[in-house]
Amino acid sequence: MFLANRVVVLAVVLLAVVMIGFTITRSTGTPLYASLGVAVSEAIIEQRAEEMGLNEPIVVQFWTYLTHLLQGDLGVSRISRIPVAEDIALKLPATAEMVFFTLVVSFIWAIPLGVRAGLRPGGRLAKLGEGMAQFGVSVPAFWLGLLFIFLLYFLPPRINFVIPVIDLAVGPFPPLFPPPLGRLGGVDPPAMVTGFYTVDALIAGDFRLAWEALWHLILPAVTLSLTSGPPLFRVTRTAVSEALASPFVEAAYSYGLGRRTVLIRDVLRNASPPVLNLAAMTFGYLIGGGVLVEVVFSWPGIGSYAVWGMDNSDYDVVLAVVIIAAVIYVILYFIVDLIQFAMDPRLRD
Amino acid sequence: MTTTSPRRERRLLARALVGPTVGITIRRSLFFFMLFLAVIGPWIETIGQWIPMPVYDPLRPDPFNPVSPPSAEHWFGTDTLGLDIFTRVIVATRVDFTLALIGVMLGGGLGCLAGAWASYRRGWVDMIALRIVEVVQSFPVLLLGIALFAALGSLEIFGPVDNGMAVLVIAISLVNFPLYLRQVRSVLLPLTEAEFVQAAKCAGLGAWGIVWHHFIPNARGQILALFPLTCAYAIQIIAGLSFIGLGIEPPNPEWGSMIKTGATLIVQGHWWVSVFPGAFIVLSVYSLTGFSARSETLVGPGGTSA
Amino acid sequence: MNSGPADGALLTLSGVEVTINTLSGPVHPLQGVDLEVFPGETVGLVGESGCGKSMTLRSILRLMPPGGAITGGTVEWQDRSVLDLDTDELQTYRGSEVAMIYQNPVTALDPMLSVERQIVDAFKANREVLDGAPEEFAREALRDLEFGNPDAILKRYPHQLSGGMAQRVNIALALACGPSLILADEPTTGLDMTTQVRVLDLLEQQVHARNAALLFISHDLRAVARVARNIGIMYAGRVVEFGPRERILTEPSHPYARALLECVDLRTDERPRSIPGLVPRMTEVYPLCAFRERCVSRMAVCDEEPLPRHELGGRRRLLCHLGPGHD
Repeated sequence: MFLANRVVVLAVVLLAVVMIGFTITRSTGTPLYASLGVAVSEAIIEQRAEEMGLNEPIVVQFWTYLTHLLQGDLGVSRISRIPVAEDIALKLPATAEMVFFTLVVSFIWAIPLGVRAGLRPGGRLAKLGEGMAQFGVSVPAFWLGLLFIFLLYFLPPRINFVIPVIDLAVGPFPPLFPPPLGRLGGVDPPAMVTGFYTVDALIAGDFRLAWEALWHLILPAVTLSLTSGPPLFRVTRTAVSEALASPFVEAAYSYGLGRRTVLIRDVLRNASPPVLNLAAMTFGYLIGGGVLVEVVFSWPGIGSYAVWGMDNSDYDVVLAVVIIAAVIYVILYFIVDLIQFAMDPRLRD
Repeated sequence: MTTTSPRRERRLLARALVGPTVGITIRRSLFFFMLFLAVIGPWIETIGQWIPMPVYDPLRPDPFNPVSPPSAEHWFGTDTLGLDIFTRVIVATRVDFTLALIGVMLGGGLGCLAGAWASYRRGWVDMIALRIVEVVQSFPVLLLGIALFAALGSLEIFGPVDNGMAVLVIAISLVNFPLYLRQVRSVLLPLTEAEFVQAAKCAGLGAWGIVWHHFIPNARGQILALFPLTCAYAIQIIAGLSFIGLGIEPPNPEWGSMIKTGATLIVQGHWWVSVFPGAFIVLSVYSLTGFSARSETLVGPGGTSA
Repeated sequence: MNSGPADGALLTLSGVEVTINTLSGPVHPLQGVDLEVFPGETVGLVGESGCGKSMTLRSILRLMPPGGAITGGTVEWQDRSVLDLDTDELQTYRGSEVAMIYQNPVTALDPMLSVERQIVDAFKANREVLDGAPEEFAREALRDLEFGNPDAILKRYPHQLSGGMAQRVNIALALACGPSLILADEPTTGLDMTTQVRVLDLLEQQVHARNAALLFISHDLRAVARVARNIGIMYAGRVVEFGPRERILTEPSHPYARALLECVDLRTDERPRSIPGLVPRMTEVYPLCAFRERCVSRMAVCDEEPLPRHELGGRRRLLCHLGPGHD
């Protein structure tokens, strides 16, 4: 019942998402002017409009777009003449890999600190976590990325001085991270299997390449994690402290179960659904929400692609990215429901 | 459970009580300072004549002084055109604050009304409202902004209002509408069954009367708590869109577009062009979030990764 | 003032004080609790809500809420001091020696775990050697609590149990640990009348079958009078009167105990009356009698001297200036 309900909602929301995305980008007359400029004759505009199907009623246009979409046809880029779907198939893995590693980084800091802060509120690590959360909420990701590039790529080779008294020469150091120029530094990418360079390089048995790919991933992932991790930290903290305060935890202690057992068996288990829920939502959100970080690190993902489309008035590209990102988000939302369903016995009835 | 001694507990408690209060006082003072900057922005040159402070015309390039590092003449340095960053960062405060405020008030106001209406009518009205929220929130904020600019960016339909600013305000409203709708709904939905609302219905108070006299006062606390957070969020969105060239176009001073100018310079070591405008964004957001003790509520996943 | 552990007592509390630091200042729910429980006996504690009944049980298990600590007195288990146990010893003591049954049976069970898992885990934590599969023990534990079809119940999750079933599962869990003392914190409060009687009977029967002692607390004097041979009356964080059931029910000495009895006339089912005045706030420490503001027998000495303690023999004890034998 619960599932059937969610599937219907999923279908309705997906349709509405495509419709709104479509309406926003195509309902106005701009695409024509945008693609041709204003100084062209009426006849050319007319002919072009006919070609693009813009003279049809909007409903018919939408129907055409929708049927094409269902067949995996997202239109053709006006600039590169490459089908948008092909480009997205290349660029989506780049974004997905970056977002995946973002979550990996968040699982390294935000969730352990959240657990700790929930277990011992007011403690030193709780303070550290709250400080990082405050910082992450206040700082714009794209600016943080630039700061990292300056401090960790530009600066180390230029540190070069001598400590006077002990006569110790400091620096120059090699850059800690590569220049912000995409996924690999001028090396050929591994043969495409999953589209994740780290994974593909490992499959190809090329450890150097895998390391190279990972090295390029770290800064964008850390940047995105610091700015998207605070909600994860806070939700973990709340979930853990709520679970800790529940009567069944006290009851478990009263039966003589050890602290470790109670923490893992009861507290973490009961705290995990909201955390995993938010982690999945964060993943879905960042697929389209990491645009600016992609731009800063010249990351060839769908976000940069959308910006490129925007700059060139290539609006089928923009539309496709918007719809893909929203659809991924909605589908993840649905998967989150499935996870909840699997984890929480109360939902299964 | 039994490991903490009462003394340690008391100490933690004291810290928990005193810590945030001091921090929040600092943040609130910081906010009023930012507000002050936003107010004086346009008259900064006049003020520079009274107070010894190197301020310049924020729009007049100095071709002999491009990309010069921070100095006594240019506290925050200059950019590629030789524009003074210190002056421009201050002038930009008003732009960012105003656009954020208008956008949040517009979208938030409509969201509140819609949320109150949905809670009052319940049933299918409420369901449709929820679906709308769900659909709008499915779009990543920045992509939504990009799509809006693709649609409206080159239309001159807003009369005397700057086109980019108008679209920014629309984007901010669109993002805030579902946030306020949800918040208001979550407070009010349980209230529709409350006795005083039923009593008011029986007394013949109309729908809008109930919304106005009973719902709005009840949701006020929640709305006020959300307001500074969403304003902070809006500032980040504005700066983010301007960073990819949407919204406020150079050379008009705006933090995001100033960071964009510096983005290519930072790999050459010219850090000041980007760093100072970004620091002002951080200060604004940080000071604004000091007005809400419950900063957790900030807009869900990746809410601020603008 | 505090006497040592009584000879042969399973559990002895003397002068136990608990302080909880909350955001709005310290609270003192226990201000010197004295209590003994002997092997195999059933003791009842009665008092209004907020008098420290539940906190007494928690201090026996050393389970303090956040910010709470035992700040005075001693808790002795046989001849060992519970307050000096280290983590491992405490873990053995909880469950194997003393186990607790909670007030709200549904929330005392982990919603994410099956009944089987919870019973089996409690088993494993407390029984070093098991001859047989723990699942078999779990099934047996449920059968003891008169579940007709234990296999089906074992597979269930807490939300699939009714209140009465959940409380029987809780009892099974507590008994599964094999303790010699069971603490019961208002175990029947949320249940309907017929279920209350059934659960109470089962609890009594099973505790006796295992020769365990039972410390039963309730605000309901009727329920306590049903099961307990010895009854303590709690007021403002102290046990103000303690004695055999017959004494307490027929000729209580403490004015509060008398007022309580008048409220609940055991012979009729009339609506209980209430005692005039307010329950004292536990944010204060009361060195003098905390009941004197509401007391009908208040004397000048009540406002001047700390509470005296009268040991009356036959395990009777009284904390009151009136002393025994007045009328």
